[in-house]
Amino acid sequence: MTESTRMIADYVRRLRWSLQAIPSEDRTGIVREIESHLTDSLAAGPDRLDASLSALGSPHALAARFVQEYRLAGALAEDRPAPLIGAMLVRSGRSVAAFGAVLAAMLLYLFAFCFAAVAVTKPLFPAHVGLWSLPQGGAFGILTDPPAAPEVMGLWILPVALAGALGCYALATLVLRGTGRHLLGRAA
Amino acid sequence: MDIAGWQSQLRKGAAELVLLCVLARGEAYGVEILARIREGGDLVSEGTLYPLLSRLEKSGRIAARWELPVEGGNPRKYYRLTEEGAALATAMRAAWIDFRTTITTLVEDQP
Repeated sequence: MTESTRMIADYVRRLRWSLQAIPSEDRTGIVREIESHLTDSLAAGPDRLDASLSALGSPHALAARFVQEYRLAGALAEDRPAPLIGAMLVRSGRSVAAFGAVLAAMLLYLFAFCFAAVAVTKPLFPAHVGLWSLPQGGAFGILTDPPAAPEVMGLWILPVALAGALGCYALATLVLRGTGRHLLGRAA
Repeated sequence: MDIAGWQSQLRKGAAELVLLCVLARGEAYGVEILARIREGGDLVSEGTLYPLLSRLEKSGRIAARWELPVEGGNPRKYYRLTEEGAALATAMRAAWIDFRTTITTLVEDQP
């Protein structure tokens, strides 16, 4: 492998890595096309390859431009949290904001899951799920060994837990989307 | 006075029109498209071309096909206008001519 072909392989690898936000079948096509372009440039001479590489910009900047154009075309499913988390995790190594946002979102999704679990288990095990007022503070959630103190919420826990689950889910998605738009759109 | 930012906005606005008009001349792949654009000046670089092509393809204005050379050479992605893209190119060209006339009257015909 010559120096130039290694430069191409390196560029293409970093580009693929930066394109996490793009659906994978499209990502493959984009990477192949850029690789083909660079190979054509190299065939026209090493100077031409250098010119192409500088015109394309860094792999990260080029990827950010693709993401931006995809967003303009409305082709990114911004509502689906999983690809967003993936895209942000890739950046979280380099950005404190992305790391913080992913952490906060994960915690909120966890809360949402717990609230949902409370709502689901209450009708099944009514004695084990609820809010208890105890001398040392309160206890809320699903307990295998519920305290003797009276449970205070009764079936009201259902709407409260459902609202908590939806609220946490929406908030987490909002955090991801807000930070994601800011971070992924910026490098253009 | 820094007018570079403003110039890059102008270029950005024109890039889509130029690209559609260049493809109206016939199917082409990335390097050919760049060569056609460069005949008229350095308006679009490869760094803006490929992302722009991906958006126009996603929104259905252009369609693409891959061609693998028999000799085992480089695979190439050929783009052509869809019907929608051709109609858009015609409409944009007319809007551009109107715009140019207005701007010429306002900006260039100063005594």
